[in-house]
Amino acid sequence: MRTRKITALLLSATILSTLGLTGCGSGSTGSQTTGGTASEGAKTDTQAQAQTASGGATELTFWNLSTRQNAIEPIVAEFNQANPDIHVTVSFFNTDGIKDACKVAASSNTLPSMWFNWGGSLGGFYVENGLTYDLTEYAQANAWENIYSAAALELCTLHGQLSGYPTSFNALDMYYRKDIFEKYGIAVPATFEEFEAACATLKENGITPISTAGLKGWHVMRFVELLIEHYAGAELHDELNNMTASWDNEAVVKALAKYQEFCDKGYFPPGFITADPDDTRMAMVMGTTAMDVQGPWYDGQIIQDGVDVNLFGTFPFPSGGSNRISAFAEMVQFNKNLSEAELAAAMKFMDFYYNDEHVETYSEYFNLPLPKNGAEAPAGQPNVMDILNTANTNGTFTITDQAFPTEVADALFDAQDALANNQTTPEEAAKSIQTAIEAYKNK
Amino acid sequence: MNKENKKEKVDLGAWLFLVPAGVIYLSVIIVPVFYSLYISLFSWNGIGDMKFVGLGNYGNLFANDPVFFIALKNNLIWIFLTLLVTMTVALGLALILNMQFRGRTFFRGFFYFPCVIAPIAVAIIWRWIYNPTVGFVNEFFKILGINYVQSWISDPKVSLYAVFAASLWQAVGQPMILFLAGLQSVSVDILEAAVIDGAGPVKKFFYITVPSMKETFVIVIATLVVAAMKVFDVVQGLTAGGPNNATQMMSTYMYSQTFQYNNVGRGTAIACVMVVMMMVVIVPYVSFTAKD
Amino acid sequence: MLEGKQKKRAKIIALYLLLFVLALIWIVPMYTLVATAVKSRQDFFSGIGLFQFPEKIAWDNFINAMTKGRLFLYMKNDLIVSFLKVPLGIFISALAAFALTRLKIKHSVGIFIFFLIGMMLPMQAALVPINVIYSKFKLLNTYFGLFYAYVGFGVSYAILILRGFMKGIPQDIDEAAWIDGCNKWQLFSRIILPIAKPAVATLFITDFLATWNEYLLASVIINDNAKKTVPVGLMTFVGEHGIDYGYLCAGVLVSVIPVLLVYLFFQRYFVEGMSGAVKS
Repeated sequence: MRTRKITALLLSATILSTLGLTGCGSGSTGSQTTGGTASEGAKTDTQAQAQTASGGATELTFWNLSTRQNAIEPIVAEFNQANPDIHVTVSFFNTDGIKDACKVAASSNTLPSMWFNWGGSLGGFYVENGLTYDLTEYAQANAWENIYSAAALELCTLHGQLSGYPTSFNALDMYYRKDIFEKYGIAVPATFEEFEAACATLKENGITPISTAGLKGWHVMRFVELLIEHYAGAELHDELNNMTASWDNEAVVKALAKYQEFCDKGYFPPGFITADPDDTRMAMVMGTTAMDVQGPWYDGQIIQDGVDVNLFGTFPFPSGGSNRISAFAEMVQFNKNLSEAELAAAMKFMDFYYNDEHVETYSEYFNLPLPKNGAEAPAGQPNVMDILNTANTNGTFTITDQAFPTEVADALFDAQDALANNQTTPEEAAKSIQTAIEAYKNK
Repeated sequence: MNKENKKEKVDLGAWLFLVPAGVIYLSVIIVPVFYSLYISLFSWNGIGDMKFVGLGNYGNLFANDPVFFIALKNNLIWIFLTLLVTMTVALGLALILNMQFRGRTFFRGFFYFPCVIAPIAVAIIWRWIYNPTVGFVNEFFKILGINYVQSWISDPKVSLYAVFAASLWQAVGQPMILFLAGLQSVSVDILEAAVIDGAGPVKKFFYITVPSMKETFVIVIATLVVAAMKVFDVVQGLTAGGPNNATQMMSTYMYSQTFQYNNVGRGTAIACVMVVMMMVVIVPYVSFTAKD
Repeated sequence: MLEGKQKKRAKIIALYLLLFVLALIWIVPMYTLVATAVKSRQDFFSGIGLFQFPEKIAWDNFINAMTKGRLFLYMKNDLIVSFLKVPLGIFISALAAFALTRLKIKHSVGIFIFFLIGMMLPMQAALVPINVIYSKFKLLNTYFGLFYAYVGFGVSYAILILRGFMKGIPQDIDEAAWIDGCNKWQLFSRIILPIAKPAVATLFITDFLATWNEYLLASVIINDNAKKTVPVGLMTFVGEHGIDYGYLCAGVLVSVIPVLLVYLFFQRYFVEGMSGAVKS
């Protein structure tokens, strides 16, 4: 009776503790960082190494996007085998997941040794809060200015610190369907007026001029920021992005008004405000739309879709001036607490990861071309070099959702939505963005 | 003397039954609860210094934050719709599927199936169904010859309800099987006696079935209110709170504040408000039904 | 007599009709899911209708999801976690629910409400504190840690259901048992728990599903790729520049199979009802 009850409780306790033992056994190694062991998916020799080498090996943890998993896992296994004194453990996340995971890790002091991040306000958050390793000295000592392109290094410099290992430099250009343009006798627009005329012609012939989608706002923003560049000009635009100039001004109002005009004229697909930006390509491929603001990865995607990439061309949006285009960078940030040995090991790994051999073998998992000087574009992707050349010749501005802190960017996205649904006027919209900027500054 | 001993024995032994659940629960839940309460009194970005602001976060939410009120309103609408529509449909299906007919097992599984699908897939599917040009709903209208074009989730006037419909499809299965389980405990004898006494189906339902299922209703209502308050995945997947906050819910707003804007204090204040709101509804209801 | 039979017939026909109409509405999204899962990437761009099946069924989607997408591994992990957590969680909660309803405990309603708070806490609010604690106790990346958190979060709902059901069991049974000389444990294990089978079965289904599909905690606690569970694994199908819908939908379809099996196995208990309750 009583004994049975006690037995039952003891039994539960035993179950719990056994699980605890098995859990702990396969889990933590007791050594530094976040306590993950080698992934069972990797080769078994790596595991053996972990056990023998865990005494003296430099342990590194690396967080990256799961879309690159098929390239990174073998590369890591190769590296670990070739470098018995270093052991890299990699974890993968999807795009939103890595942002959240890094935030949670930052709050609980469990950031890994290296992690993938974007530039601008996303990466800047970690710099501002003293979580990243300042690579400025290392870069100078190793002549990075000769290896990496100036534009990439600049975009990786946040709050005065070179905060990451540059892994990609992307610029956005206006992709268009060459055959559709030809069919309706539209030439590549060289002025804003010509652009508007092109849109009108397309619309008359039953084609939606611009493929865009507003879920989470950033794709529509790619077009709106081009309008701002047109009406504000380069200098004012930069000040607006720095939040040193007020958004409650005429240029912004005109840009937003023009955006609303485009919405009303049906220049964007119906119901675009909550459409998924990852789907804009579908409309382009099927020929229901003719233009899309995208970056160099688009070529690769088009090829993977089994579509002829030669149907697509790019041109810089004729915003005026030098027709600047928007650009952003991606990087790998390093943990501030890395020791010298760990930093050296981390750099060794990163250089290994991005060496020429791997870039060629796993080319589809790299954002090519690399942000290095003299990097080659992937074969069969004609638009990639065009975009990068345009970026170099015309100049670039930082993409708005990286220039802005997230809450201010969201205010802009809300304004985009409201204007499309005629819930607000351009004047009010401009004011609301400025209000968000002030609120942010007064935090 | 025997009775006294027995009473003592009962008490201690009884508490022992609570120990395993209590220990785990306290260590997993209570710490986050107190942590959230604590953090909500500060202005904090998650990493740097914490600035004590007392009830400032709450003050800001209620006095300065129009989006918070939109989210609050949306959640209240959602709770209302859940209790009115989801519960009714679930109960109706349970009643039908409780009757004896061939294939009822198949249909039970069929209506439960949407529950099982991962939220991201639900969002994707319904996004296509609502697609203004090729989506099922508008295509269906075209077939019927109705010229009604609606952009559904893009239209701020209807988007909340469109998202609710998607959520309804997924959420009905759960309360349905709870009602099914509860219906098993309605005594067949009493029902038969009532029929003999001349009671019609409506009377039977309201005077016998519903009261017998009192505890089931407690479970279903508590669960539905909590779920309606916490709803996140399907909204985040379909509209991410848009367009222009038309479908912003307290949970999506809390998520933005905490993880994207780095206003951790404010975000946790929203979470605390959510818990309080749920308690305000559930605690009286549970206490009331427990009085017997 | 004939009228009675006709009435019954009419009732049944009406019933079936209503069910079919509802089922038609219900099936549209499911059909989309299946139709998408069998399309290859090219099919999406060929202008094919959303509800049309392509000429060539893309079985590759399913195979790739299991192998390259490692869905098989994730499913295995999820099975381990779910099949260990669910029975244990139910057992612990049943103990508590039993105590709250059948044993004389002061403030049992208050304690019950106390347990309900866990259900109300939004998961996002718990992420950081759990991460901090777990990193201190080296529980990150362990199944034990994930387990412990799942049980803790699941207690509320389980107690809600089990208590609700147990309250409906007449007290006469307890009286009879006490007289027969049963102690608390025997009352629990031999009498009450078997009677509560419908509730336990429902809870098994619900809890299994909740554990199987749980995303947030799993994504925070488990970083090791070899240990990931299904929902976290499915998210890896979401790419940087686009979702391969066919692939993802195929993965979703495959991953629901175990849950459906659990459901099919346990749902028969809805029918059994109070067998043995109105006792001998």
